[in-house]
Amino acid sequence: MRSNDWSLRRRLPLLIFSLLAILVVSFSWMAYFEVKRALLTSGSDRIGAAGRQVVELLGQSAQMRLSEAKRIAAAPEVREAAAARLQGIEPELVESVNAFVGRNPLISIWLYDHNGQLMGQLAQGEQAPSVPPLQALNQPFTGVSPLRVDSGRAFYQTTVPVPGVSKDVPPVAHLAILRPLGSTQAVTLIERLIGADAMLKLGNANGDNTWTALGAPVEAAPNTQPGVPATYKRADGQSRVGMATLVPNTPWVVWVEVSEASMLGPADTLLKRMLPITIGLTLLGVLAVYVLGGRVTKPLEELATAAEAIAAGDFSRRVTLGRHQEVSRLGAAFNVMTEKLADSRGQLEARVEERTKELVIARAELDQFFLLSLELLYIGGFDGRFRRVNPAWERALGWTQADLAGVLYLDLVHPEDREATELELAKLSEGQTIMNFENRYRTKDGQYRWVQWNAAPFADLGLIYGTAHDVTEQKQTEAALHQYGAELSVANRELESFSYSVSHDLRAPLRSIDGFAQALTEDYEARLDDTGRDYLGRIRRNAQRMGMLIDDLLSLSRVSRAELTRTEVDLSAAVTDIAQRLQEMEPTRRVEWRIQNGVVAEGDARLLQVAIDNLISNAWKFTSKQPASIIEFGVAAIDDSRRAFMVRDNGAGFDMAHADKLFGAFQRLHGSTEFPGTGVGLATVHRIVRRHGGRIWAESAVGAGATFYFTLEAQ
Amino acid sequence: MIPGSADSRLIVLVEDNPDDEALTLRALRKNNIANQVIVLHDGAEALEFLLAPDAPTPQLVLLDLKLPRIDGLEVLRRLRNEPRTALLPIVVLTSSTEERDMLESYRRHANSYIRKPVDFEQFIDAVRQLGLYWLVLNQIAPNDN
Repeated sequence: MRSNDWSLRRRLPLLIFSLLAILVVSFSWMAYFEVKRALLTSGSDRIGAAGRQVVELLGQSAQMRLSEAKRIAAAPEVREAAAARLQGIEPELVESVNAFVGRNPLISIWLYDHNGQLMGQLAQGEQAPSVPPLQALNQPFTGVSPLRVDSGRAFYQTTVPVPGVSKDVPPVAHLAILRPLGSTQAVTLIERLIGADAMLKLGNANGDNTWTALGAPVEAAPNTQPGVPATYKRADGQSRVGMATLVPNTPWVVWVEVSEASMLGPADTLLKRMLPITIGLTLLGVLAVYVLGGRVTKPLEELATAAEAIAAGDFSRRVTLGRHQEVSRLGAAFNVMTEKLADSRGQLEARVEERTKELVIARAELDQFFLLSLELLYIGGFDGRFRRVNPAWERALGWTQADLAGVLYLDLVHPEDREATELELAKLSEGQTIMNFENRYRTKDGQYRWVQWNAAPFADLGLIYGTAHDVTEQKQTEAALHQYGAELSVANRELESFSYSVSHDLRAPLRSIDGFAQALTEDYEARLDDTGRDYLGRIRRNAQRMGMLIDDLLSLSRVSRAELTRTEVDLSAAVTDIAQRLQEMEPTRRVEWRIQNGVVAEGDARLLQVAIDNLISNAWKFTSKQPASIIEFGVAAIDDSRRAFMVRDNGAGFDMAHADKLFGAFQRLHGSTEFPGTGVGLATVHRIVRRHGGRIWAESAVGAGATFYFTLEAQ
Repeated sequence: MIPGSADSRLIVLVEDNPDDEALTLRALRKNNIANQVIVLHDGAEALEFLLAPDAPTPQLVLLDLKLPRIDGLEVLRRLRNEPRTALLPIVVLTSSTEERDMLESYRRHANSYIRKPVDFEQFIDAVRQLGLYWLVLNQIAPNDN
């Protein structure tokens, strides 16, 4: 799946390998160079030491050769031969010299004059090579000469002055011993001294490139400063390390060298041995990293796979990661995370599902309401055209959705209402809501109906949402009501003027009848018999009764007409007041009053006064025949929650069979001879109670008193 | 009769109904009220009499409300507007107990409002009390003319 990317498992070993390789290579090189440097130092020390020993040996040897030469020069026959300048002297004659030469057959002895010019040979060893001596000596004439190579062998001379024959005669000649350099014995000794791998060369310090390996001439050693190791490349290409050392008492220099390869051999060996070790270690490290990396990356791979599975939606995936603390913590954290993820995903899905369901329900509800609404619902555009209308339109105006879609509203508005409608539409497009706008709208069959509109714009969508309903009938009803109202007010005015006339004009004749009947009784008493007086009495009583009837009727009509102003009315006080008044009018009557205190009603003060007046007066009247009257006023519970005002007496009572007539005008349940009255009082009370929206009823039985209940509010 | 003098003890009765007139006079008589009574039969006549420059100042005016030509309330208003009669004791004596009659009468500064009862005995009693109060007890305002 990721062919281009190297997995961690492959990259990690590679990285470790690179690091290890760099480390190992640099370490190896450092070690190699350190060892090499150490080897060079120690090698140099060794060749230095060897050189010094050889030099010491050679120096001592040279000193011995000089002493030996001095001893020979001091011999008398040598002094004499020198003084005689070898004239007439046979070499065999110099006995001591011959003895010495006999012991050392490799040497030859020569004499030089005081100018250093060769005088002649003094002795010749049996095996001495036939090498000519130096023709002249360089100054100074004494000491060891530089090396000379002749016929593949190296030679040198030791020259000493020859003393005079007596002490007062100055030396006139020099004795020089010519001999080959080194012997097999010495070579073996020195070779042993410096080691087999080393090479010794002896040369002249003057740099004349005369070099010999203690006998045979050899390739020249480099011309270097004595005591300082130097590396040079031999003619055969081999690198050599060597050091020059001056030989004391001689003009010689010793050069000890070893092959660099042999000197640095251990370093190369080290390098050779280290290489496989380091390679092995590196490979081992890489392998270990690969294996360990596998352990580390395996959980990671597992995690990655699980994460991919989760990304693909599989929330059931869990990981079981190993024993290592970090990894197992990672695994645990991953599992917790996955669970939480699954959980929140589940919650989210549930919520989305729930919301979707709600939306579907809300949509269905809206659709249902849209379809079922009795109101005309519509959606229109700012372009003034209908988009959607509900079926109520068809029921009310005959238009269907198909009829109206895309139709301009204004096209259906009554021409007289168009201007006002355009104003309202302008308000809508300015973002205002319109309420209760009325106009006439055309129906499908060409009539016009009054329609009332509410509409609100939704500017973001450029839509108008509106409701409307047909108010034609309402308008007609309103008009009719208005008409009735006008008629009613005319009727009321008529009634008013009727009452006014009744009040003024109907009572005047009665007063005249009564007045003149009275006058007749008074002024013509003597001329009237009992029957005449009785008739006049009846005339007067009827006139007065008529007057009372008229008064009560007027009062009743006034109750109906009066304006109702509700205030708090203290009914207890009103009852007490009336009770006092009644008692004063008939002080002889004994009545027990049971008036509950603090009974307060909400109502019109004057009308309630009239009502209480009537009820209490009634009770007073109908208890007039009781020996012990009880009249009670208060508030009574009529059921669990409702209360009613109550007036109770223990008077004559009435038959409940006639209870329905009780509150009708002019309805009386008792004869007027029994109890006086016009039958208008309770009708008045009834009307007052009804005008307050309340109810009045009574409970009674003949001879058992009566209880009147009333309320003043609709219940 | 000295104009403007209150001790003329004159009673002016403004009443169009002859029956009521007779009964009122009878009631006065029955109560032994012997003051001179001038009866005027409509509002115009009453105003003409009472507002005449040389008119006497009656001790009491009994004024019916329902009158021909000019009704009692109008008579009352005009009398009260006239300085000379503004403080005249005027008792409205009428059949009506209509609230608006009473209110209007008092608003136009009637001194009292008496309703004529149907019962003649009650009427006699009312007139007796009326006479007692207005003719005997009441001190009328001094005439500041």
